[in-house]
This record gives sequence, structure tokens and C-alpha cells, in this order.
Amino acid sequence: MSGPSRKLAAYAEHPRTPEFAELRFGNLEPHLIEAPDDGTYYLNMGPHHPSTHGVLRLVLRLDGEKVIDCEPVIGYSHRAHEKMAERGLYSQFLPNPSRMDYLGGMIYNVGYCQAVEQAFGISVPDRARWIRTMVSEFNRISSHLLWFGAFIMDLGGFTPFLLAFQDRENILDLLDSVTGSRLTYCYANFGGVTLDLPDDFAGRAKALIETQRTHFETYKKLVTDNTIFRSRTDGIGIITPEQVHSYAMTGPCARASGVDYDVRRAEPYSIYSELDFEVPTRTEGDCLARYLVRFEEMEQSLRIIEQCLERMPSGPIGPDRPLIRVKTKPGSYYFTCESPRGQLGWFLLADKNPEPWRLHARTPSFCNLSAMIEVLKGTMIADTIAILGSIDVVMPEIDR
Amino acid sequence: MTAEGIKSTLRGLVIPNSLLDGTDRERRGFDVEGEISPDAIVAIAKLFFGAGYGLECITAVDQEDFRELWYQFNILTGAPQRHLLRMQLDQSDQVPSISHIYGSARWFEREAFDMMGVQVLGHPNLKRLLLPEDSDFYPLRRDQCIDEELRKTRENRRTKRLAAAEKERAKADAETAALGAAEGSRAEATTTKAPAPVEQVTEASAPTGDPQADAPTQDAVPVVDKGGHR
Repeated sequence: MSGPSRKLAAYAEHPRTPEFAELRFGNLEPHLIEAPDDGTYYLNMGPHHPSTHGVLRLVLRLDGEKVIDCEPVIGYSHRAHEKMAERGLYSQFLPNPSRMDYLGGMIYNVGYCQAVEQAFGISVPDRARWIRTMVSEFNRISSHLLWFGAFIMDLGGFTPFLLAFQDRENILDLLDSVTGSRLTYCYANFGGVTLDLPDDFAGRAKALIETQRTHFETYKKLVTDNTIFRSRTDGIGIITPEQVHSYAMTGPCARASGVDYDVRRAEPYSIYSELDFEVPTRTEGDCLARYLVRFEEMEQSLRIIEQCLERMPSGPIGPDRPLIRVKTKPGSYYFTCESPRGQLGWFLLADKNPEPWRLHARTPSFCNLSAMIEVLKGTMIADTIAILGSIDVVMPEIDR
Repeated sequence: MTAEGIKSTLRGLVIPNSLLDGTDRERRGFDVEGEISPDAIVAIAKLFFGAGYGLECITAVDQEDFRELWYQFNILTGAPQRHLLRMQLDQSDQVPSISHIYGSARWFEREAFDMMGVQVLGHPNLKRLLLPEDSDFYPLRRDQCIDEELRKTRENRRTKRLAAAEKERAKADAETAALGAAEGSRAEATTTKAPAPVEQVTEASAPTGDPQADAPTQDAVPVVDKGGHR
């Protein structure tokens, strides 16, 4: 007997001891599996609870409605992307990054290309860099819009979800006309991008920006100023700067807690040093602050896109022939970029062979979610859903 | 604490003479690089934590003969100051945990255990993170390879690398012998001294935990495959 059947047998025969709890709950922190004798109880949330946005499982120890302890259990969508990277050429890994984070797929795709280009000195023409930045920012807005809709739906509001999805649809249509795909992009390749912008792109993009701005006004009236929304988020789920420091949290979660860090400004890559944009920060650290930071970020992204449209240079968009076999240079490399959820890092260990020796993705939600062990302690069970929604986890990115 | 202050304290904690400014910052992305032994990591983590650095990432790497952990500390509040510290593990794959200092180490170390089988001592909950709890293999090890063709390629490369190391060693031996013959009276001193690092090369697959003994070992291995990672 092995695997599940062995476990079932052990489960049936086992006396009700701490090990029994372990059989029921699996990989948990030891303090969680000790059978409580004080009126507290366990609640298993997920892995297919609608508010967990994918396959996250939370085991909560509750006292009434209060969360005493919490343990996120992850790994349900582990697909071994890092292992896949080791068995093929650098270019054969190109379709994978956007599957890691399906909401920020373009940013992952572009990020991986830039990591390899930076490491092995592959030059990218100007126009390709501007196009990449522009589509990345569109992707950031679409990711934030989906988060916005889903977050409000977690809190019980259905209308904003539909509105946000309509807006997101417009952006996906636009990106579809450029890249040919809607969700998991493989648009950038080493040394440039695969396709040039269609002729009517600038006009459509400008119209979209205008509409989007008016829609943001609507959202402000509909959601931001809504009393029910405020009472569900104001002062809820406070993440302290100390927790941000200890858990290496990045992205909007960190910026909402007063940590003014954005990779686009701290370590400007591509053309970000030439662009004029602000990094919104707030100091409250609660769900509302994270909401507001993301909202301002979307507006800043629109500003970046406008600048890209204005200053878009002409010229080639990439090498004449796709670069299949990269000329490698042994060494260790690290490249970071700002994904919608925080600092995405590619750690690359290369040897002279045509495939990577080791490729490690430092994904932002991995760190952000690990902090939930501390953040969720002492909150109410209903707030758990609001907090989890506000940190915006994408499970495939954590599980890789 | 300033970057210089960190560096001078760090110099006492890393393997002697291994702390260097990161070469080619634009391309490689590291400001400072160094090599550490497992004993020093707790003190180093405390130093960085106190100075406001975040633990950005821990990467476990299988080098076939041994495994490595690469620690990255960086200022995650402003201008980057990325430190890359490479730690070579001995055959027991043991390393002390720093999860009591850095919260982010908790999952990074579990990931290293899960993927590469690194035994993190003192971790509060060293269990599988991404894989099912009853898995009995470590997927990111180089010998975990389902593709028969790829396995053969890797074996060939490894054989070549070891052969090259053997050749290099033979060459070093010959040089030592020639040196001994030429410098008659000093020969004894040289031969008694020289074999020590040469022996270490033979045991490249079983490096000792002693950082002092490691240093000549790594230098003696020819730059064919893994030399480039450093």
C-alpha cells in the first residue's frame, strides 16, 4: 500500500492524537495540528473556494469568528516550470513565463526576454523597447482591473465585476490585435518583438485611454466612495512596514504600507528612466490603502502609455531572423522587473551549454502570501476574504 | 549602517578574500558577491536584517557533485545594493535556518528542501511546500531526469568534465614533479606541501566543510562547466 490508500488505512486506525490531526490536515505548522482543547476549531478554506482566486488552501484556527492561527497551503498548480527551463534551449522556454502569471503574462514574457538579453548582451532596437513597455503597461492595467472586479465581488458587490471585465475585454482586444493572443502572450522574443503594431493601433489606444479615464471616475463614485465598501476595508488587514521588511513584500502591498519601492524607479530597466511617472504610496497599510494604490497605479500606467504613443520611434522591431540559439556566457545573473504584484526576479545560472543550468523565478506573490501567516492572525473570518483579495495573489505564479 | 560599514563587517564573516565588488553590474545585477560557509549564515542574516536589508531570494542549485545555496540580500526600500552570497553545502546538505530572523526565509527554505533536498536545521516546519506531502524525490536535482536522451547528454558532459579535471590534475602533478627535480634541495618541502590541494581535487565530489580547505579545491577545478558559475 502506498500513497492515499496507506493514508486512509492509517486514518481509520489512528487514535485521536496530534498525529491524527496531521493526517487530516497534512503539511501544517506544528502549532496548528496540535489538537486544540480550548473551544477553538479548524476551518479549512479552499482549495476551491471562490474567494481564493485559484487553488489556495487556507487552514484557519478559529475562536468563534476570530482567526487565531493561519497556514496557507500551496502547490496545487505546480507545473515545474523551472525544471522545464533546464531541459531545453533558452528560446524553448519563451512560452512558459506567461503561463506562470496568467494575469501579468506580458510582463513575465518581456521580463524573461530582458533577463536573457541583459545577461548575454543581446541588443534590442529602440522601437521594440518602447512597444514592450507600452504593452506591458496595458497588461498591468488589465491585471489590476481583474483584481478590482474580483476584489469587489469578494466583498459582495457584483456590478463592478461586470464593468471591470468589460474594460479588461477592451484591453485584451487591443493586445490581441498586436500580439495575436489574449491571455498567455509569447510576444517578445530575444532581441525584439515578433510583430509590429497594426496601423490603427495609436487611434484605438488613444480612444481606449479616454474611455478608461471616464470609467475610473465612475468606479470612484460607485465603489471608492461607497460606505459599505469603506467599512469593509478601512482599517482592515493592516500590514506593518516591519512585516513588509521581514517577508520581503514588494509591489502595491508594500507601497500601501509606506515602503516607497518600485523596481521601475529603483532599478530602471528598458526605457523607464526616460519616462515621467509617479510611484503612488500610502501609509495606512490597510485594504483600502492597497485598493487606492492600485487605482492610482492604473492611472500612472495610462500616463506611461500616452508617453509611449507620443514618442514611439520608428525603425526595426527586432532581429531579421528569430534568435533560436543564444550565444551564452557562463555566470550567474539576476534581473528584476516590476510585475503587477511586485518584484519579479529571474535568477539565471548559465554555463556554456545552450540550455540554462538553473533558472529560478523569484515571484512576488510567493513572498506576499507567506506574510499572511502573520497578517491574518487576530482578524475576523469575514475579513480574511477581504485581506486575501486585497493582496492580489495569483496562484500559478506562486506554485510555478 | 552604510554600504561600506556592511562590507567591512561582512569581510570578517565570509570565506577569506572572497568578498568582491560585483563585476559587470549592468549585465549581472549584483553589487557585491561573496562566498560563505554554512556556519556564518545566521550571523550574516542578523547583520543584514539590522541594516535594513531584505532577504530577496534563496536559490538552491544542484552542481551534480554538491549542492549550493545562493542568498540574495537587497535593500527593498530604495536604491539597490544587491549582495549575492554563494554557499557550498557538504554531502549532508545541511544548513542552519534563518527563518527566525527573516520571515521570507520560511518559505524559501522550505522550497529549497522541497525541490533540492536541502536539510534546513532548526526550521519550524520543514515539510513539502509545492509537492504533495508524501513525495519521495527532489525534482530539481540534476539526476531527476525522465528524458533518456537528455540523461545521456548530461552524463556525457559530466564524464567530459571529470576527464578534463583528471587531465588538469595530471598536468599539475607533472609540473610539481618537474619543479621538484629542478629545485633539488627544496623538492622535499614542495612535495610534502603540494599534494594537499591535489588530494582535494580528487575529492571534488566530497568537499569538506572546512572553508579553508575548499578554497584551493575550487580554484583547481578547471573552468569547464561549473567554474563559470562562480
